[in-house]
Amino acid sequence: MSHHRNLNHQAAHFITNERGSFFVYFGILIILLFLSTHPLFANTDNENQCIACHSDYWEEMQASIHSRNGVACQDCHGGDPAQADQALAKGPETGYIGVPEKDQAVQRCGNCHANVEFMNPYGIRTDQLARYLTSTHGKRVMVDHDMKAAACMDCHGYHDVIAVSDPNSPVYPSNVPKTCNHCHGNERLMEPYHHPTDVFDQYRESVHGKALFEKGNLAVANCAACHGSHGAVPPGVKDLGATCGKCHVNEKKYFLESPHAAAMVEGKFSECTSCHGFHDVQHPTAALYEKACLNCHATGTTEYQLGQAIERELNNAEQAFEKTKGTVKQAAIEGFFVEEEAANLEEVKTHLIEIKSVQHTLNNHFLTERHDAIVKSTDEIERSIRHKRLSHKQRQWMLVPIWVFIVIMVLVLYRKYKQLKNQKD
Amino acid sequence: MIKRLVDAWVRQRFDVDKMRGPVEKQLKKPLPHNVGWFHTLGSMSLFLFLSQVVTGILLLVYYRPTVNEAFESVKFIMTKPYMGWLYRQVHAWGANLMVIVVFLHMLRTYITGSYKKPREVTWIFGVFLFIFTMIFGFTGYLLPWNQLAYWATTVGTEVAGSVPIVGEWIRTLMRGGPSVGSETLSRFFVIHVIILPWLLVLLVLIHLFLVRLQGVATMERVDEEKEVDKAHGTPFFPTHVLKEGIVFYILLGILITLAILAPFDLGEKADPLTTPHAIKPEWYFLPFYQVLKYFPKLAGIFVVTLAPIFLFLWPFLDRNKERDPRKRPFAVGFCILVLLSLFIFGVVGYLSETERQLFGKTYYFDVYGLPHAGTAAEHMAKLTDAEVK
Amino acid sequence: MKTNHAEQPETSRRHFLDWILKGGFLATLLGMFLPALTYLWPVTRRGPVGGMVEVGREDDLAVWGAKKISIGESPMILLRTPQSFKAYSAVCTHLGCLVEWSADKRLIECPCHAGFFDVEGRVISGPPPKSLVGHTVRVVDGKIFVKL
Repeated sequence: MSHHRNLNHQAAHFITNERGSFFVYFGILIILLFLSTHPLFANTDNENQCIACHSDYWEEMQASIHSRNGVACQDCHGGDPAQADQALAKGPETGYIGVPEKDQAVQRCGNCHANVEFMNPYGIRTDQLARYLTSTHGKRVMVDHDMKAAACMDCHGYHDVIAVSDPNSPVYPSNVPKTCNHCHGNERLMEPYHHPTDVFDQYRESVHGKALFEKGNLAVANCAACHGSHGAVPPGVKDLGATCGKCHVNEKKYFLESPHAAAMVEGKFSECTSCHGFHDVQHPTAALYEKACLNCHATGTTEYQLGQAIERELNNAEQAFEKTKGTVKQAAIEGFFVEEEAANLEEVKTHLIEIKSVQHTLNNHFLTERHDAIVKSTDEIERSIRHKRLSHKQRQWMLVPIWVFIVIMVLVLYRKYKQLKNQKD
Repeated sequence: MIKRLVDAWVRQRFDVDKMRGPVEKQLKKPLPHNVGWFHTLGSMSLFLFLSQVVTGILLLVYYRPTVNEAFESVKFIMTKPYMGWLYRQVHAWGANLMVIVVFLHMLRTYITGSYKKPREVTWIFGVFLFIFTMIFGFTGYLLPWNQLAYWATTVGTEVAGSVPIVGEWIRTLMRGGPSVGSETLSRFFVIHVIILPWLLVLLVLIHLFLVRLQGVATMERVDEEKEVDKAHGTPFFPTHVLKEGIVFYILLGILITLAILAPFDLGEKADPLTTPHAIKPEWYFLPFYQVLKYFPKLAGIFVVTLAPIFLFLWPFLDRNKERDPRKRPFAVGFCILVLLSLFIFGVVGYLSETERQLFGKTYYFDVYGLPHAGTAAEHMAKLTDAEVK
Repeated sequence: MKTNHAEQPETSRRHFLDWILKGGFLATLLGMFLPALTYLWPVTRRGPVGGMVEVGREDDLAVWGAKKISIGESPMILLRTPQSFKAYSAVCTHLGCLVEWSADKRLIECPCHAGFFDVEGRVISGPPPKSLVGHTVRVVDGKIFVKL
């Protein structure tokens, strides 16, 4: 009995004194910590048990815009993130769908992204799903159940979706062509649809491609700019003008005044691409009049000859400008005061750029007006500089009296010198 | 009448007679018989210096030594003020002529052996004057701030920077920074407009004083010079001065003619981002610039600095007592050799990195001056990467 | 002693020569310094262009109005908003056409490819990749100065 009491007494004594109580509290802490690591009690950021096993996806998701805005695994895949046990987490009542089929996924994306009220605080559009359903990609996936066509995650990514404005996003303007090319450059994939697979290469060599890739101009046309992004459908023959005309406003405006506008309405003429091409559009030169017109008009016809006349005028104007530019530059280098001429040249440059838009009217009269203005200005500039050069040349006449004077002085001096020498001798 | 009144007024205040003596002595100083037309070159150097000072002052009225305004101000001078163009061209051509005339004066002194004892110090001062004239040219060249100026200065300071040990320090000091810029312009302006002019005035005065003190050299052997007396010498004034007057007028004529018939360009405003092809320094640096290309860095610097060192030491290295060039075959031969090499390397430097048409065929001269058949573009295409570097 | 008679032609010729010489030297000196005086006389209202340049009077430009000016070789557009004056390089950053002011839209527009810039010179729409280059404007004593 006393032994027990002794032990109890000892134990109590142990716990109540300082050193003892330290060990007790410390021990409790250790036990709690140990317990907390047990999956049953483990806490992660969002109380999300999925990542306990699927940690690799969590890494992908961490930088995504979804995870930053509280969208987690269950929002797309269903399931119960609070359950650590696999069976419970993916049970029948949890709505778990695993890896969704493409059409399923599109609907899931649309659940939020097409919900105006839900998306309100994020300030992004909500018409993506609606547009997608009108697009060729959308029809193939949702109607034909052709899972090879593109859906949301094919372009935006799966777990690592980031904002479109982030330069790393696959749908950032300079990345769009590469993203589209993933599928549209794949021969095996495109074969059943009979789509060409060299579009990316063509685009890259085009003036738009070069501007985008080499000069970093993000405002330039890329695949989505012309074909649309969510509502991607190839521009039909009628739609081109609207597409190109989005940026090339003046060209479109002038084109509609041209005889080709009527042909366009009849479907015989595609506004811009008939002459300029589409994916491989190059920087146009007047030489285009040689090639493009011949597509429909035979040589010798009035139309062809009109094209030739326009080409001649364009070349003439261009040459006049280049020549005068050289004249002004040379005069400036030599030290003539040509600021006024240089300012006038800037105006001529503006006319020259304008004339390139105006030529789309294919109306010689408008063109001739501008052409004449250009030639008149350049002639004036050349004349002004010639006049300045002439007045410089006139300085040379100064030399005559100067040398006459010098020769007289030299002769007189020499005479005097000789006199003195003779005197001495 | 007025002359007599002024004369009287002055005489009441100053001892004119006491001054008259030394002044007349200087004016009428007899010069030895060997003093000929080539002895006017010294005075012509002085005349050109004075011309540069006067035109320089006039240019200074409108010139602005800042990166933003320098080029525009030179354009202004060339186009707006009355005769502004003339002063700019006279100043630019005067600079080139001054280098030539000073060099010819030095050459004359060499040929007549006038640098020998007792006039070694005069020669030393003269070499300094020549070097400072070239520095005048180098600093002044930058001031118009056009492409030529900017890049020639870049190349020039780069060469200065390749001197071992102190090279980088020298280059940074010259440029006022890591590259040619507004600081360089300021420094060069200060040197060109205040430091060098006063320095040259001082050196010229000393140089002239020494010449007057020791008298112009005769052609007699060292230690055997006889003093020239009135009976046997030519009086400086008016006889020699008349000669100088003649040469002066002809030189003035040449200067103005060059200014009008071969004016210097304004050029294009300096663009630190665009390097023009094959930049070269001004012609008086070309021989040295070209020679540098043939040697690795250290050896090149060594070879090129031999030139001024030789110039300074020459009176002390030359032991021959003769002054007559006919009796100094080695000295004259050496001089001809130097002149020829200066000329040849200068021409090679001029031709290097340019495309020329010779006898109907196109040739491209590479950086070493060697001709290659074909155009510049063809030659560039053949170069390997290492060679391009 | 020579007779006066014999001396006369010799001395008069010598005097004649001396006269020419003296006259010639005087002419040379004058020829060098008189042009210098004319050179020094101010020829334009301002010296070489650089720094701030006067482009007009405050009263000549209405609020929400604009003016095309040329400083040196640079074409510029000068605007007036109710708060301040603004000056931009008139060279469109797309392909170099000269831009114009659209009073009804209160925007700077480029006639070539319909590029639009706001009053701060920033691109609003169209192909221009960068904003217009701005220049400092200062108004002193009712005179408008633009910095090149």
